[in-house]
Amino acid sequence: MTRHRELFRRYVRPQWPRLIVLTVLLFGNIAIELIAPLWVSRFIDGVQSGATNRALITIAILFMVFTAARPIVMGIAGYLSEDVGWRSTNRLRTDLVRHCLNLDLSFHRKHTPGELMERVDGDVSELAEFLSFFVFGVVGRALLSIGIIVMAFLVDYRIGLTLVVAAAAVLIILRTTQRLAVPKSQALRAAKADMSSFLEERLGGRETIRANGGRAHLFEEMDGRIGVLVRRTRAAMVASRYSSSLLELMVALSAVAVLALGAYLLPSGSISLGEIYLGYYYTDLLSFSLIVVTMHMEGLQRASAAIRRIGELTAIQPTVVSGPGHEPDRGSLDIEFENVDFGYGGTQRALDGVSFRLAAGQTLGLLGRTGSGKTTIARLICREQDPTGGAVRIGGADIRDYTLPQLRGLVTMVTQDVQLFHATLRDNLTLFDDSVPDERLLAALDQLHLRKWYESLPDGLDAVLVDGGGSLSAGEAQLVALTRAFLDDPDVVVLDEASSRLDPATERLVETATGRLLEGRTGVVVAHRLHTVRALDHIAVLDQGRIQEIGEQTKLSADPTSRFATLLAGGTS
Amino acid sequence: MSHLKATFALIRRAPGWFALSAVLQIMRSVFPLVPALVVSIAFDRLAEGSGLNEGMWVLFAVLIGAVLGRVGSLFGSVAVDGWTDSTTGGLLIRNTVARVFRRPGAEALPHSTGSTVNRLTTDSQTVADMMVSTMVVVGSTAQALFALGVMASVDVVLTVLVVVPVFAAGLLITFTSKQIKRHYARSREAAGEVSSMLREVFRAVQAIKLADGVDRVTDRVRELSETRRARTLKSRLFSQVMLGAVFNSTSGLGAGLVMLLAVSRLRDGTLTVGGIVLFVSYLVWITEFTTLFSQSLAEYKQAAVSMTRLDEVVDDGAGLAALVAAPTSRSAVAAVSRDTSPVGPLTQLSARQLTYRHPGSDRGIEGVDLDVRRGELVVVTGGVGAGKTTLLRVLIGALDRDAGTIEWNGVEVDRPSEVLIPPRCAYTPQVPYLMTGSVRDNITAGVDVTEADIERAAYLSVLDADLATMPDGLATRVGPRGTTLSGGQAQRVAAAQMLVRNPDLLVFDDISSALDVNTERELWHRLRADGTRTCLAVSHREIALAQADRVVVLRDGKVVASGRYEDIRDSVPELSHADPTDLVDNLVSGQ
Repeated sequence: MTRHRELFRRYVRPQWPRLIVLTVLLFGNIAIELIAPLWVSRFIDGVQSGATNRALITIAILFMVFTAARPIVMGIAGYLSEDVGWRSTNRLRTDLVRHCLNLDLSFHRKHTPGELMERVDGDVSELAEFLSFFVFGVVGRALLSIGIIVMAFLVDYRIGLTLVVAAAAVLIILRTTQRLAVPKSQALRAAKADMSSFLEERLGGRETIRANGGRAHLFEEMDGRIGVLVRRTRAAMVASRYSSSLLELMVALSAVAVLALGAYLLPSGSISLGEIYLGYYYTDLLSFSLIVVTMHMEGLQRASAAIRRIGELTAIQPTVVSGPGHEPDRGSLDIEFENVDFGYGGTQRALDGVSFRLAAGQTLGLLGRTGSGKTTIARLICREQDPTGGAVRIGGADIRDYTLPQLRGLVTMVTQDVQLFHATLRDNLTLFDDSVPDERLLAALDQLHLRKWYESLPDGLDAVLVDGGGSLSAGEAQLVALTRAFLDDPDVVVLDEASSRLDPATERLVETATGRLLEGRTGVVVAHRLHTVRALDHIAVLDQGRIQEIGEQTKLSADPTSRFATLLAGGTS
Repeated sequence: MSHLKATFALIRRAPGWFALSAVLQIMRSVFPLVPALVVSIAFDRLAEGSGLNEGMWVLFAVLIGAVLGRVGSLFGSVAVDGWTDSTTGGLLIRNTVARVFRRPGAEALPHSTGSTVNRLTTDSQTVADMMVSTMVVVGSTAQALFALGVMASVDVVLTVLVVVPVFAAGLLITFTSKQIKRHYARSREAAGEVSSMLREVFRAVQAIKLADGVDRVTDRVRELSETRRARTLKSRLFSQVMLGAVFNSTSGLGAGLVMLLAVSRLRDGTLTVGGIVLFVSYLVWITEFTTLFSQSLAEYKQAAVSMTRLDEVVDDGAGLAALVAAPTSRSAVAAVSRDTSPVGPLTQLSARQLTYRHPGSDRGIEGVDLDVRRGELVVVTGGVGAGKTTLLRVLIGALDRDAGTIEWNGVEVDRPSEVLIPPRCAYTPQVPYLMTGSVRDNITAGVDVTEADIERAAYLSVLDADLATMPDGLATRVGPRGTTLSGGQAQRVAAAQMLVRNPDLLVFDDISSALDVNTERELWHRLRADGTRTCLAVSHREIALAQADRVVVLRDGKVVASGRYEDIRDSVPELSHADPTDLVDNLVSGQ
């Protein structure tokens, strides 16, 4: 419950002016709903008692005004409700995106984008929908139901009692049957989410699926999922009608009760025909209101589940958090690993007691087999993860002492897996930073010798890049990533297999640019090919999370017993 | 094909079910009218002064019976609608996916993956919901006609007054339909932008974090969300708030009018109290019908937008007819892939004058000739943007060539995407794309193979040593898009997927990019060990170039040199590496 209150306080309460207008409309609507049938009742009694035409016409006109006014009130209120719903959940969505982005990368390696979408968009939209109808659907109808019972008692206490009994029965029925329906609708939602991630993955991999003859298999898998959807939709739709069906039966029974009561009392004159009508009408209205309330109670349950899941997500805290802050001595930052361990838990450690020091402005190439720990070292320098033992220092300070923005300002990493946005080249280079002037972007492209390539793009910086390949080759995507790094102007550069996937011509291009990027900066390069490390000052050879050998490149290559020299000679290390 | 015709075509996909749905809808809609009729008779009896007599109890029994009938037909109707709804949605998804997979595999779709998935799921649901609500309208129309009939039997003039708002509403809807459609389309578009932005953000978490871009990206999400809010509300304002309000007010006024006119009729006895009760109750149903009708018209218009959006997922020009086509059976899909009739086992694959231009740019390949004979290794190399990947894609039909011919054993292949697939040919792309699931799932990817086949493929792709270190071996989960594997492992799993299919021709697009020297050497060693495999590979590594029977060098989309590496290396700048450390590669490959 505290979670609900917290959400309400942060996201809904700021909408208070709209909420006030909504409340006024809400009470207006309740009044109209309660009073309108009174006019019909008076009309009937007027006819029975022989009232004047004039009196009857006045009643008819009043009824007309009330019934005509209600949809307008409802229309405005519906619009406002939805506005409140969207506004508050938009803020929630933005906060959640920020929260997710601040979580550790290890978290993101475990959760698919589809899964997070389901939280950030699916669950939040569930909340938006609920909030949009909450005021009128739940609060309004609940108040109306109380109003109806009060009015019924004013008409006749026996009718009032009948309605109380009916309302109690209705609530019991609803509470029991709802439990049957909820699991079915949850199962349906799960099937839809599964379908969505299935489609996303298969669309992404369509080149391979087609080329390797996977279409038949794709259809087999898809048909299986459609079959599940069909079964679950039917089950959910049938289950969703349990309560309303029982209710209809209940309404019929209450109507019979009111009419029987009326028929019994009418000859004694203790009740009028109009009052019987009113009792009958209120029975109907009460059941309808309670249906609406329960319908949205189901929404409330779904919203609660959504809030719980959102809560679970917000409860996850990043382990990589900002330090207290440390002003670095920019321009001369060394990197030091002191007895650093890193283990994914259980099995073999990814890094085991790694120590080295790389002086400021020097460069280090990391060599080793897949899984030897090269990438882990790169990730630790960028604080994608924190070591499980030992310390990583940059500029003499433990990198956990820097705030994250400070560290991000110092260290830039170019990853192998380039992630492009379906956005303009400008946005892809600056990551949506509008304050970077075009001249700076063009200058960076010049430095990379990318001006010619850039000029071949039809719309220049406004060229929209398409995700999933298409407009850019993998090599070109790499060039975009390198330009991103250039723009950051960091002190420490980490290149993770940055030159892979490039042909010799581009590699030369990148090497020139990388050389310029590394000039006067401290650099760590994860490499798979030997020639990429030849321009670097130092070499470390890793195996199974340990440094097997580290030293100046010239010395290592001159020493025929070194592993590096063996590698150069083409032998296995 | 018009949207209306497409809707009818969807009904024709399962005419029996839709007919049953209509019958049940009519039953479930007409039954609820009975209680009001019974109550009106009861009121007339009460007005005449009768008490709680036997006749009253009979009326009550009829009332309860009608409700039981209603509930029974409701359950039947809902079950049938659940079927039609999900089956229609499924058909739309299936047909659209089928169209996507008929297009060349490497051709970019007109919209981002996020937006495409959004269209496939949300828009197909909108269309399916429209189909169901059309059936609801059928029932509701029967209900309105029944109600009007009963009312007309009481008083024709009063009844006509009730019908007027319905016509007025119909006119209003027609008048505003364009706005509804436009606003809805704009709101859907904004929703698609939010989804695709979020999807991309969650894919690019690493890049965003490392570039300290969290705030900027979050701001962008907020802007897009606000646009969605504004547009959704605008669409809602038109379709529901304004129309809904005008509508219900009109019918409310109609109800009041009935009471006004009833005054004189009650005096002369042509209308009774029971009649008024009946009119007021039935008016609620008529109002509901008009609301429903207007909503379903709006829904139909929205569904039309959704149909167009689904159609636009693929720009093959096939139109709505393809969207609502009868589903191709799975065996038919499979038959296409198994069709081996045009060609036999590979002796020679030849391409002549292959030409392809990337849309909207002047890049691609032009007039490329290529030959691969049984048992050969042919390596394609060249600078960035030289067209290496494009050449492979055009050859296997992942891109539609603009010109040129492809021959398999001298027989012309018109649609390589249907022919150059297993068992003739298989492919490993430059960037491997794995699916959530186990390593085994990713290797087999649906083909029926033995454990020995998988082991052989894992051995050939040098995956065996990695499998031994993975906690669950072949059953190890690869994570979303294979992210728990290293780049090299993912690429070798993709290679194993190709190899387990045991095709005549292996096509690699730069398998070496994520592999270290030793692993790559081992890979080529294993693949070439028995000399029977035919390979076409893009590479720029000496290790591959030196073993090749032929090296084809591309520059700006054209072949500038072709021949054995040692014969052409000195005359082609692409092959003379500037960096002396490439000696390493020489040493490695020279062993």
